[in-house]
Amino acid sequence: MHKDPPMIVAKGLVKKFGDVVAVNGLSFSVRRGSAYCLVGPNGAGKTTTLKIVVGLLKPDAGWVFIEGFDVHSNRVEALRRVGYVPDYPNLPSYLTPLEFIYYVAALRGFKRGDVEEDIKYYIDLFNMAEDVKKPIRALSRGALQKTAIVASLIVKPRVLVMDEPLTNIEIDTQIIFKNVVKKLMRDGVSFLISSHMLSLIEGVCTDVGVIDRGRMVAEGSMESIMKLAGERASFEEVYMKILGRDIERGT
Amino acid sequence: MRRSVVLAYVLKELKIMFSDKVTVFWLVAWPLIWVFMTAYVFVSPTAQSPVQLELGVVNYDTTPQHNLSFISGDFIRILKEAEFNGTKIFNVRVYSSEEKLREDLRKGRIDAGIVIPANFSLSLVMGSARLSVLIGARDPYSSSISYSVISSFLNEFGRRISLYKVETALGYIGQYSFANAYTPININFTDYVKSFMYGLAVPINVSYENVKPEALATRPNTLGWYTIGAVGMMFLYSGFSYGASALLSEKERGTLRRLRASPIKESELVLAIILSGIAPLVISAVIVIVVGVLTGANIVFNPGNPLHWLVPLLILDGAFLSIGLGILLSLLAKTSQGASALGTALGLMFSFTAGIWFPASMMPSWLQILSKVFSPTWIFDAMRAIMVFNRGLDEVAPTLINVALSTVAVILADIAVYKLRLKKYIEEA
Repeated sequence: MHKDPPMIVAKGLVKKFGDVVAVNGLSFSVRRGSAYCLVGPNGAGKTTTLKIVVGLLKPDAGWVFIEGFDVHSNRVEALRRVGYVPDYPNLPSYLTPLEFIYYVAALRGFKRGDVEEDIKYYIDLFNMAEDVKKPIRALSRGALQKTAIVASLIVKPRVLVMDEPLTNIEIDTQIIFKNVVKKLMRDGVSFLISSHMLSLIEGVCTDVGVIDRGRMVAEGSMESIMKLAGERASFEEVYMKILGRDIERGT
Repeated sequence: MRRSVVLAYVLKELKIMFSDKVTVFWLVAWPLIWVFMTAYVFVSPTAQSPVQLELGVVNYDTTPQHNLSFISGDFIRILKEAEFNGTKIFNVRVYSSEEKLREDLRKGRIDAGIVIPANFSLSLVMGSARLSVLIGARDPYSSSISYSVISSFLNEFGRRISLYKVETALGYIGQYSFANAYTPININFTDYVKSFMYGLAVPINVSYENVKPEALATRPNTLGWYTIGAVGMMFLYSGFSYGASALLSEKERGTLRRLRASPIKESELVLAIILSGIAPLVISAVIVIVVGVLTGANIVFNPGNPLHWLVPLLILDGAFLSIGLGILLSLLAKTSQGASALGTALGLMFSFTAGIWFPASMMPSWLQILSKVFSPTWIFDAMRAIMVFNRGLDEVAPTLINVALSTVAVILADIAVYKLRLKKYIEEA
């Protein structure tokens, strides 16, 4: 199961913004057909790490390879394999979701016919039929998020990098999304997900990296991580223990 | 370079641009407003019709009018009946006193006034009459127009009176014989005196003919000139604004981040952004030119003339140059709004001062040099030369060489700006 080379390898990532060290020597790898979840408190460096992985930020030190291609020196080849859902779905307000999704496909070199079936499938799956022909500026935040998710899925990526993908998404779509992730994992697609949503983490993540102040404080398979706080501990308890926080605080 | 990627971006941008009413206004409506204003206001089809002046007349002439061959009443009748091209020149109002006439002049109710003094008829018949003309000023131009019209009328009136007097004098002279009188040339003395006296009345027969510059010779040519000017104006403010702000606004909207996270080469992105700016300018240029032709502009595209096939290239190059110069402006801006405002303001300023909308000859001499060094002006002048004035390659070629050289210079400058600034925007997205 672990014989395939990793889809994402990040080594010694460092990113500073002025005097602030956002990411401090972070290393991890994402296996083929797995979901690696980055968790951590606000400001831990999760979003910065994902931006480095998709080439939006250049690290001050370290490197990222996606299926053997360096994201920064061989950006186009590396990103050809990646779908990305950013933390905030900035979409062109005058387009409709459908136009936007076709636009994203075209940017990846897909012809209409190549993606038409998938688009229909995901629009139906995520209950977007009513929204896809409205202008994006008229959509709810949840509909924007679903549009960004569908746009990342239809380009047939081998790696999906998602930053808080379920923000503002209703519960039934969250369940559908998790099912989609599991199905794609079975097909060999790898996920790198940053999230605060316990149900997503517990539902789909095969591997977890807990980061705090830019450093990896715990990492391993979901099973191994869950054992850190005892046999029957919840992920909440594990997470608080790793970060050294008091789970009773505020009671 | 993948064409499909560039095309996808351009189509997306076109869709966004033409969905935005403000952009459509500036791209299409604004230049069309200028075309219509030119066609129906500035150079309206009725612009050649004569001016009619509101003219007040006071008649103080008390000369007994029997036994006189011409009286002041005849003068007023002639004023009322005078026509040019079928239109009465004066709308005459008769006043009872000079005070009332002056009051109406001061209040702008009439354009000019004529005061006919006492003994006018007698003086006119017997010798030289005096006439007082009062010119009003309803607006900055009306006084000079009124002065020109009235002085032209009175000159012609004076000439005809002189001829009439000469005819009368010659009638008397004809009753005498001057068989042995001296003449400087070998003609009959009576004929010599006649000729001499006509010369006193009309010493010089002057003929006037309007020989206007080709650009203004006909209404269609004038409209053609200004229609190309409207295209040029739109290219400048839209191209400058777009070039200065395109990447900044993509960055500020957060959409540059999505592009940056896609497998798109920087060269593809920069080309796509430039083409996205060029496409609406070209579409808008075609619309403006077609509307200009429909309003009567003389703009001819002759597919059989190879020189005319340079026009699409000139339009493309004009759009590129405007955007390329706008990209240089991006060095001066920190936000897309600032960049856009700077581009629009400079674009409008250059279009009014660099011989693109107003002819360079209307500018002060120190400013006329701008049209000689501003490369977009060369492009629009070349378009006018080919499509409006039907000039040949020999006349256009020097301009085309300058246009090509300036395009290369702008490309090189843009590459420098890309290295200095735009690459940073893309990397920071």
